[in-house]
Parts: sequence; C-alpha cells; structure tokens
Amino acid sequence: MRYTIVILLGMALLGSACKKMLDEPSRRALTEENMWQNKNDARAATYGCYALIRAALMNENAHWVYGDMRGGDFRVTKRGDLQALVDNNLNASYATADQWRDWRRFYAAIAQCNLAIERLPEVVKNDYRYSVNDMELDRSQVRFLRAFLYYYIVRIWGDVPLIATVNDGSFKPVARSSAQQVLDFAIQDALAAAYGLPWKYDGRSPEQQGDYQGQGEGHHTDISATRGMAYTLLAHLYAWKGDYTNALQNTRNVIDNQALTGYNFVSTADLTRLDGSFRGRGLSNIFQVDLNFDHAEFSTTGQLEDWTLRLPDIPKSESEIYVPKDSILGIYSEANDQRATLFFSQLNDAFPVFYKMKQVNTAVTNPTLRFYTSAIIIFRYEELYLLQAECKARLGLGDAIGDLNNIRSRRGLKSLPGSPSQQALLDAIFMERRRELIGEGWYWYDLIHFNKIPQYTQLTQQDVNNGAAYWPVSKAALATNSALVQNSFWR
Amino acid sequence: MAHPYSSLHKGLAGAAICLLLCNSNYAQNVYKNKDTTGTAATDSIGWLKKTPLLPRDTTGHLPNNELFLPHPQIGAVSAVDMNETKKLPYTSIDQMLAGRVTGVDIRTPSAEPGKRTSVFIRGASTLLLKNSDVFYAQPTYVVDGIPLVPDHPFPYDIQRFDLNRMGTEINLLSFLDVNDIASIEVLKDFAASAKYGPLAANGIVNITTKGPRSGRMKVTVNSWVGLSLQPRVKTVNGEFERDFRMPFYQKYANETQWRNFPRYLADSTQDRYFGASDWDEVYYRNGWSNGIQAAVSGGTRLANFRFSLGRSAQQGVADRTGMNRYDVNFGVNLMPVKHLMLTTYISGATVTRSRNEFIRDRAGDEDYLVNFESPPSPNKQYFQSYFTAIKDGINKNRNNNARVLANLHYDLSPHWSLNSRFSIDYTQNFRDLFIPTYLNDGNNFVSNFDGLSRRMMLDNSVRYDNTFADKHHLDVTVGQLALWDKWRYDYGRAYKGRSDYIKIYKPGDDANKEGVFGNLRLQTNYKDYTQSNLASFYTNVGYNYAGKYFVNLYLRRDGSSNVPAAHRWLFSPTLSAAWKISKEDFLQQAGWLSNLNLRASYGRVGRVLMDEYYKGGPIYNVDIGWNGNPNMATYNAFPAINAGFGTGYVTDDLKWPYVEQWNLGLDIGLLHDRIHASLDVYAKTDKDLLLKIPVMEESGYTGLVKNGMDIRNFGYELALDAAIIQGPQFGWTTSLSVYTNQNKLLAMPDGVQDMTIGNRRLLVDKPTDRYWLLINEGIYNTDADIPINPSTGKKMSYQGVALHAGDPIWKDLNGDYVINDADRVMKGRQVPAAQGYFSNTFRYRQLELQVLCNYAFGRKIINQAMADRFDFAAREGADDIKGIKEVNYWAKVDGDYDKYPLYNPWSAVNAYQPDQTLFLEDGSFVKLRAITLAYNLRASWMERRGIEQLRIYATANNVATWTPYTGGDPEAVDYFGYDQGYYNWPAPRSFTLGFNFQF
Repeated sequence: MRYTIVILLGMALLGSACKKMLDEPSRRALTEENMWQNKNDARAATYGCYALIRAALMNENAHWVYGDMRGGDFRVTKRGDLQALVDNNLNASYATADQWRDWRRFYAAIAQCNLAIERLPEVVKNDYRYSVNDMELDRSQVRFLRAFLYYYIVRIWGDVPLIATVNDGSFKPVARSSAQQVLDFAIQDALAAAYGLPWKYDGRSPEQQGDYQGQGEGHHTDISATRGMAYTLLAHLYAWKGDYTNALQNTRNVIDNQALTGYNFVSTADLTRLDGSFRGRGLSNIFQVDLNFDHAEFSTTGQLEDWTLRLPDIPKSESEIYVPKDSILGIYSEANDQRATLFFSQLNDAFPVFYKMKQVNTAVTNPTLRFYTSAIIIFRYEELYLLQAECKARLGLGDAIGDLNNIRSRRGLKSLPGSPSQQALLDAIFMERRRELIGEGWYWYDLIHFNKIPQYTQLTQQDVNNGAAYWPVSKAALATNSALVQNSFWR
Repeated sequence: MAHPYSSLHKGLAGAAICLLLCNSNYAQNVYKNKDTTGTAATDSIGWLKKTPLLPRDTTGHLPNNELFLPHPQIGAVSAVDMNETKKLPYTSIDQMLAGRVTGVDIRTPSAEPGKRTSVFIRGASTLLLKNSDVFYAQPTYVVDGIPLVPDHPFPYDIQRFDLNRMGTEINLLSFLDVNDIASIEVLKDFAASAKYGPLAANGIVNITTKGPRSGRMKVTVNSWVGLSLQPRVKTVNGEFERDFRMPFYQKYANETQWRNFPRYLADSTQDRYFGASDWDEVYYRNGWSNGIQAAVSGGTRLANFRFSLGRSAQQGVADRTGMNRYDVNFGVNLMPVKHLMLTTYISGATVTRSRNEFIRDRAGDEDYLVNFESPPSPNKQYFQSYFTAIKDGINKNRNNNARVLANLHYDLSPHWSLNSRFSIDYTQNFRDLFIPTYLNDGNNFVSNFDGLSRRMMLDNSVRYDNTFADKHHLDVTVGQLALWDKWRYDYGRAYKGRSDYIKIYKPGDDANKEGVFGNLRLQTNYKDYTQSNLASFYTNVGYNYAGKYFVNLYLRRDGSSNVPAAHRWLFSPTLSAAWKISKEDFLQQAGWLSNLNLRASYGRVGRVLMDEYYKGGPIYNVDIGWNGNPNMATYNAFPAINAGFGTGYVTDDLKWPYVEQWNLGLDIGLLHDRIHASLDVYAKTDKDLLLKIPVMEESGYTGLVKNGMDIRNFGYELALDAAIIQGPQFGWTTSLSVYTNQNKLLAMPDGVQDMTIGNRRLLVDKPTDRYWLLINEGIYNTDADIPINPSTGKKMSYQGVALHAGDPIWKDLNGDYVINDADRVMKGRQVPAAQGYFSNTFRYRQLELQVLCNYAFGRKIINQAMADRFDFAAREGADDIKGIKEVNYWAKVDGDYDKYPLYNPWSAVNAYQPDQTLFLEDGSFVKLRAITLAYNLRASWMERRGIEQLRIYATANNVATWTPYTGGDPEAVDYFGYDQGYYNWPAPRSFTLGFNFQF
C-alpha cells in the first residue's frame, strides 16, 4: 500500500503538468484574444480590407465578368461559361458561374471593413505606438473601402443587403435594402473618409504625418486611399444615384485641386506599355487595386491577360476572349484613333489580340511564365473627366464638350464641333467611354447608366425594367438568408 | 505433429482468430491461440502473477502488447493469418489486411508501389468529400504498443489542386517488414480498443513485432523474389481518336467548333500522332521485386535480444515507379534486478519511392499549368525523348522513420505491479523535385519539402490483480497517459531557374549569391507547424467468476489541447461483458459443442481534433487569395490579416466529438472446434462531429463551424472456419467471411436537415456515402421532343439553359421544367453492401496450397474515365487541370461504348457530366487474390545441422477478377468512388518465389 501512495502522489504531480501541456496557444490561427493588440495588428487588419477587395475582384476575373463581358464587345473562342455571359445567360450551370453569382467575397471584404471600423480604436488603448491619428487614418481608409464596396455591388446586383455592423455570431437574415439607401449609406461613409484622408501620403498633412508604414509617398500612390479617391468615389456614387449636381461638385473637388492631387492625363502609349498605367502608381491613375511583381504579388489567374493574351506573348495558341476585327473597326471608326492600334494587335488574324494590358514582367518572359501583374485600375483621370463631361451634359452646362474634347484630342481624334443636342452629347460621351475604357470593367455599367442595353444587346427594355441588367443572386445566398428574394428577371 | 488448424482451434472462440506464429516456427507448428473471448483470459491475467516476467510460450516469445496494454479479452478483434501473409511480397500493412480480416474496407486508388492508401474500419465515420478528409478517418496503427503518428493533411491548405498531399506521399506502414511481424489484429469494438482512448476513434490496427526471446541463439533468413507482369493496354493513335470524334463533329459542330478542331488530330500525315502507337513499350515493364530479411535472437532469461535487418525493393509496372526499403530493428529485455524488467525497442527505416510522372500531378506540384494543347505522342520514337527528359529532372522521395520504445515493468509484490512506458515515433518526409525546362514550356521548376511528424507518449500504470476463493478474479489498473503530437514542414519552391544545371533551391534573399536558383520574386517559402497534446487518466476494473462470467469496466478522462478550455475534458466509459455458456454445467456434457461464448460491449471514446483552429472561438488568419491563387499573403508588400472567412466562423463553445459503439458477439465452436463461427453485430455512432454548415453569405463567412453532426455506422461481421478434413497426410480447411456496413446521417448542427457540399448531398436519415445523380433517360433527338412548360411556354431547361436536340433527357423529378439539383437523387453505395473473403487451404504431407478469394457486392462506381472520354470537347486544350492528357490517353478506355448516346459535347448543359445515372455502374467483384504453394523441407539431416525450418513457397497474386464493371479493375478507383481511368493503377498480376530459413 505504501507504494500505491507514492505512485498516486507521482500521478498527482503529473496531473498538474497537464494544464500547461493542454494550454498550448494555436500557432496556426489568431484567436480573438490575441488580435487587436498592437499597431501591426491594426495595419494588417486594414490591409486585409484592401486584400479582400482584390480577392473579390480577381476571383475568376470577376471585375471583367461584371464590367465587360455582358456587353458583348469581347467575343469568346470556346469557353462555354464565358459564352453564357455574352449570351446574358447568367443562370448557366458552370462552376465559375456559381462563383460569379455569389457575392460572398464582397461581403467578406465588407465584414472585414466593419470589423476594422469597430475594433481599430481598441488598438489605441493597447499599444501606445498607435496614436489616435494613426487610427483615424486607417479607419478613414477602411471607410472609403466600404463605401467603394457598396458602390461596386450596387452596380452588379441592384438592391443589396446593407450590413454595417460586426457579426455577433447570430447570423440573422437581412433583407435587401434599396439601391438608393445603400448608395446614401456609402455616400456618408465616403464623406467621412474624405475628411480623414490626406491628399497624398507625403507626410505633409495633419491627417498623415511622417512615413506611412515606413514607406515614402511613391509606395502608396494610387493604392492607399486618399481624399482624391474619396471625392472620385463620391462623384460616382452621386452619378449612379442620378444626382449630377453633387456628382459634379465632387469631380470638381478633384479636378480643381490638381495642385494637391497631382493627377494628370496619360498618353495612349504610356497607358498601354509594359510598366505603364497598368503597373500604376503614376499620376494618371486615381485608384488601383494592386499587384506588383516586385512584391512577389502576381497571379496566374484573376487577370484579364489570362483571357486575352496568347502567342507570342504567352505559350497558348488561342486566347479565351477577343474583340473581333469588325467590332474594332466599328468602335474605333474615327480616323487617327491611337487606341485602335495600341489597344489591339494581330488584327489580321481570325482572333485579334486585345493588347491594352500585357503586364508580363521581363523577369518572367523569354520564355514566358504566365504570372501576370497588372493592377486593376478602378478610377483614372480620363475616366473622371468623362464623368465630369457627362455631369455637365446632364445639367446642361456648356463646357461639357470641352471636357470631352480634352480626352479626344489626347487620343488623336478631332474635337467635336459646335453645340450638339444633349442626347447627342451624351451618346458621344458614352462612345468615348466605350473606346477609352474598354477592358477596364466599365462598359456594362455604362450601358445601364446611359440606358443603352436594349440598343446594344439582345435584352429588351422590358427585360431591363424586369431587372435583367443586374445579376441573379446565387443559390447559396438565397438558401442561407431567408429574407432574400431573387431578382425578378432571373426567377 | 498436429495440423496447425487443429491446434489453432483448440479452445478458440473469438470473434477473431488470431494466428500468432511465433518466430515463424512453422516446423514446430507452434501456434499460440490468443483467445479473445475469455477461455484463456484467466491465463492471460494470471500469467503475470504465476510466472512473472518469464518467457511465456514455448519459443520464448514475450508477448509485448499484452505486457504493455493488458487485453480486456472480450472484444471484437479480427486478425491476419501472418503465416500466409508472409509468403506474399507485400510492402505495407493495408495490403496484408485486404481479404484477410473482417470489418475493414481498404481503398487503394493507385497500386503505385509505396504510395499512401487508406483503411476504414467499420465504415468511415467522418465525411469523405475531399482528399484531406481521408486523413481524419484512418485507424491508428499501434506497433508494439507505440501508436504511430499519422500524416497530417495540413499541407493541403496551401495547395490549389486536390491531388496528392505535398511531400513524399509514402505509405507510413511501408516501414515494417512482414517478416518482423508476429501478429496483426484489427481491434474493432471498444471492448478491445477503448484502452487506446481517442486514438481508437477510427479503430486500431495492432501490430506486434517479434520481440526479444530467451533461449538458444536462433537465426532466421527470409528471402523472396517476385515479378509483376507488364499490363496490357489497347493502344490507339490519332486516327482512332479522330474517328471517335468525327460523328460528334458531323452531327453537332458549328463553324467555330470546326475551326477549333485540335491541330494534332487534323494532320494525318504526321507520324507524331498518326504513326504507330507503341508508347506502352517504353512506359510499361515487367516489375521485379525482391526482399531479404535476417534476424538473430536469443539470450538468457535475464538478458535477451532480437536484432533484424531487412531490405526490400519493388518495381512498379508503369512509369518506372518503385520503392526501396531498408530497415533495422533491435529489441532487448533486461532484468537487472529481480522483479524489474526493462524492455527497449529501437527501429529505424528508410523508404524511398520513385513516383509516377503524371503531368497532372506535376501541375499540382508546381501550382502552375503549362500549355496542354499537344498531348504526349503515342509513338515510341517521340515519347522516348520525353521520357528521357524526365531523367534530367529530380524527383526524390524519402521517408526516414525512427521508433523508440522503453518500457519498465516492476513487480512490487505478487499482486501489485508498476509499468512505465515511453515511446517516440518520428518520421521525416523529404522530397526534392526539379522539373527541367524541356517539360515545362521552357521554364524549369524546383521545390523541396521537409516534413516532420512526431508522437511522444508517456504512460504510467499501477496494476493489482488477485484471485479470491479460486473463483473470483479481480484485476484493477490505474494509469495516466500523455501524448504529444507535432507536425511541421518547410516547403520552398522556385520557378524559372537560370539553368537546368542548377537543380537545388537554396532559400535566401541575396539575388547575387552564387548558385541562386533564379529571380527571388519567383521563390516562395512556406512553413507550417501544428500540434496536438492529449492528457489522460484511466482506470480499468476487470472481474471474472470462474472463467464463466466476465465483466470489464474501463473509465477514462481525456484532456485535449485542441478543444476550448471550457470543454477540454471528456469522460469516456466502456463496459464489456462475456458469458462463456459452454462452461456452464448444463453444457459440459455436450461433446459436440466445444465453445459457446456470448459477449457484449458498449463504449465511448473521444475523437481528437487534429486541427488547431477550434480552440478559441472565431479566428483570424491570412486568407486573401482567390481561385487559382490561394497563397497570397501581402497587399502592396504589407502583411494582411483577415477574419477567418474561408475557415468559417468558429463557434466558441466547441466540444469534443466522440464515438459510441455497441457490439454484440457470439462465438461458436463445434466438434472440438473443427468448425468455428463468430458473429458480431455493431452500431457505431459518431456524435458531435464538427461540420461547417452554410451560413448567411452576407456575413462573409463560408460557413459556421459547429458540433452536432451525428453519423451512425452499423452492420454485422460473420467469420466461419472449418477444418473439413484433418487427416495425417491430407488436410483441408476452409474459411468464409461476410461483413457489411450501413451508414446513416443522424443529425447535423442547428437542426440542418439538408445540405450540399460540392457534388454530394447530405440528408438527415440518409447514408453519407451516396452519389448524387441526375437520372438519365436518353437523348432528345429533335427540338420538338423537348417538353414545354405549359404555364410559362418555356422549354425544359437545365438550370435555366434551354435544352436542345442532342441534349440528354434528364428526369424532371419535381416537374418544374427545370433540371437542377432538385432533380438529383442519392443513389449508389460507395461502401460495399457486403464483402468478405473465401479461403481454402489444402495440405498434403509437407505441401500446402492456399487459395484466397475476396469479394464485394452492392457497390457502385462512377465511370468517370468514360465520362471524360465523351466529354472531350470541354477538355480539349482547356486551360485547366482537366485539359491535361497523359500519354495514357492513347489507350482505349475500357467500356461499352454503345451504351452512351451521342450527345452534343459542346452543349452548355454539360451533357456528359459524370454525376448522372448514365455513368453509374455496378462495382461488385470477386477476386482471386492469391494462390500460394508452400513446401516444408523436413529431413533428418536438417535436424542434425540445427536447421529448424526450411520452407520454399511460390505465390500468384491478383490472378483473376470477375466483375460486371466495364471499366477495368473495380478496385482501382479514387477514395470517393470515381474511376479516374489511367490515374488509378490497378494492382498488377504478380508472382513470387521465396524461402524461410531458420537455424
């Protein structure tokens, strides 16, 4: 029995070692109690918002699927899922189509923004290195991103659920809010962001002091949110709402403050060349979703290049999509349009190559490794000018044509003469946007916005009134949120 | 000299027959009957007391597993006949189990030598939807009381394609040499396995090696040589392929599709694709295999040892594959002072594997798709150069394994003893891969994987046993166990090296360093680490009355580091009982009945969560990639962290999942055990399994991770043995088994009743292993045949895409004129409804012949190989993994081609999708698995020279298969029941010649 006691005592000692052995923190995931502790957490969470936007836009080339493919300027060589887009057959059964119908990735980015907006202030308390100023700057960036996300999805799905708070684990169904309501919410966010953001990350403003993230101004240009981006977004939000007065006010906030923003136009050659606009960080881009070879941020998928390039640029004999020669000649019908030659190549082949983006870094060529690095340009100066021209035209202001001609002359076109009718002017602006912004994810939204869908696609006005311009909601979303209803056209 | 089976059946009564051939001493016919039902239980409990720490059986083998983990002896166990198994050139345990035990479902997607396979005991209790799921459902292998560390699926987290796990993919069990193994038992019910605690959740395969023995020095030498036959395939060339496709083109192709007619099929003058199709001469071969093993053992009662060395090599029949193993094992028993026994085992092994060179697998390794527009040429002349180019690459796969066991046993008194056991199992997993420019669109690729798995165990116990009044036997053990599991890997890969002569990738950040592989931006390093600790306390109380009534209660409390602190400890009891009816007075007179034993058990064990994600509520991680690019970590060069949207919202009150199992068994022995039968009925219920259920998409999360999935597996297992003839010259023994497994999903979290994951549907009250299929009823020949919805005037559609002539007729189950998931039915079992084996052994004098068949009925296969064949349009030149064609593409896919309608392969409705009844086939089979002929030399000169055994044997493996399945070997399908054609290599027919020699 004596032994037994010794043994049992020994075991009791071992028992106390148990707790230590079982309290191992996870090395693979960060739990709630370890997050929001220091400046690094705060910054990583902020960059998580940017990164999730990139993931949402690049997943199965979503940015171009929503923005370009349905318009039909691009034709499909053989992929059935892409053909379904051109045919506006959005219920088609493809794995990729399931992804495109699904808005979860956008809501993941929104949820990350909600989380950051709510939790960033905690970090100020936990880490003295993270000042209130630091926090306000990060939070303003996140507000901008949230506003941008809602702007982006309202254009795709129309009415969408509006979620602005952090999930508490209850997952209660949320119905769609009207697009107007969502836009108003985004406007408030963007306004708040504009007040908290610097014009530039040059360390010379009360909003942003010193080197942000230890990097100079150039590192952040076009990538980290600025006041100029916020105003540009506001202009678009108002324009999508149809409030052209406010939209114009905001385009002017950017254009009239050129001394602060430094934004400028880009030549057609610089727009399209390797390491040109689609590498970005220049002053012609306003907001880009970034990829960068130097940061080893590149991808084999998620880029328009993956669909548009072929031999000799990449080892693939046929691209997935192309713009037929007839369309090129039709769209770029005016003489001396530089874009007709710089945006396309191999015009005499059956499938010409769309050659606007071709960011295949020299480090991965010869022979080519298909790692693409072009940034997605969300807003750029030419686009803003065309928006301003549209606002002016809608408001009947006289100098609209001047803004339009400003862009036209830079692309080698003659200036439009005289004072055309409002409709003719809007049509000209629409066509100019189509020419200038092809392949940048604008065309379908322009078709909606300028109400040109019946004219340019096989959908009728009746279809559009029925909701055909917007995407159907995925089965998965409908199944998990009982308050949702399908867009009427896609029922 | 008695016949082996007669001595075997003496007193035999278990659900399980355990043939323990000690030290391969066939000549002496010393079979020890490890009775699992209680006849010998008194002995096995009593032996420690009566003859403590002495060699127990006649050959001096010390039964280690009993020493370390006393058997409750009343459980459901099924064991392998090692005597037979040793004659077959098996390089891993799961192959030895196939067709030799009951209750086990072995799935071998590819017979590539040394590759990981899977074993499911009494059905898979967790869901099997993707490759990583298989890891969570594997049994624990225990070797001499050392629980082996399993592979962890966590490298899948950084893999874009669900193919091989990164690393070597070497079967962990290929470390063991069959000649070192004394016994293999499959422990199925918790009476047998609860003592392994949570490790037993998927069942236990208990392997005992031949340990040290006392006695005269003994040397054994075993060697064999084998030949696997080159498979025959029907090779075809471009002409065949073109002829196959033409009818589709003629019937359906539009201008674009004609224009896209693949170039390699367009020009029939070039012999690259239209020449002779003789690639198989280069690709396939006769594969040699050989093995040699030698062991020496002996010593005194106070110090004895066993030392063995082994080597075996096996060539695959295809693609120059193969494996090599070297192993060394050393065991020693020391008794430094009276009553103290120290046992130490040290084993080391290294296994290398030559892998296949599938383009698909390479794409998975590289995470990069090269241009697939031109498949490899079927012509030897061209294919040879490709094959030669592979040799410029590196594809080295090596696992090193070390196992150490130290056991200290001390007898305090005749009734009290102490045992302390410490073990380490340590596996390194190295892979070096270099793919030269020629194979890779001009860009080379290099990667290396350095993985480590480790499991340490410490177990201390005190034991008391005593017999009172000669009838009441009591046996009490109290113990404590700690288990530390750790998995780690470093993985680096780099693209576009400067030269094909630099085949090594050295991580670093100096771009100008000599020997740097290439551009630093094109180099990526990954590192991951995970662990799981387990602390347990247990008590075992066993009681039996006069060898008639047995009761055993096992209580255990486990704490896991991977469960949130609030629910960290799980209590798990197991109660088992047996009634040896044949020992009752009223049956003592029944001479025809030699054994009748009834046993029952109920138990519960926890299931360890291998992942570390679930112990602290919602998590944050880095998950900012997108389809095709899962591993992004930064934005604008800054690190990003996000809430774990991809992982799912982890609820913060997660608990242990656990398994409950009922087992009822009956053992009957008749006519002095010449006929023996054993029946087990079981119901095994997994409760509180974690499941990621769909959650509101607008939360951003891919799901909600919760406890609450319950899955039940139930069935019966029947084994029957009969010694039909037991003559002195001639003997005939036959064994037959049948076992079943049914599976049912009892519940899902939050009362979810119906859920879809990938291509599977989960429906409460339905099995989890069913395919989910559209019902195919033919073809619409004209547009006019397509039904029109009278209420809307719209044509029948497939998910909104209107059907046309040339599309399949799929049954519209809900009558809404839209074919979609609502029209799919759950159909076709993956797990056979019944399977088993049938074996006959004939003996004439020294000659012995065994014929072993195994069978499976009521099992379905999706013939995806055929579906893919017809679905050529979607696969041609697709910039997708499914666009890949291997050289094996130039072999005719087996099957009944006339059965499949000529659908429009370009149709947007995906006419040839595999998930339809059109491709569901009966996968039942009967296989003549092995024929073995053995001859025991016995002569007086042998005895004079001290030769104890000399046996020569010859075997034939995988001799014949009978199956209604049209697509080749019905066993060569993936883990999920899909026959992926040439990616699933059938086991080749093989022959072996070998000898066992002992002196």
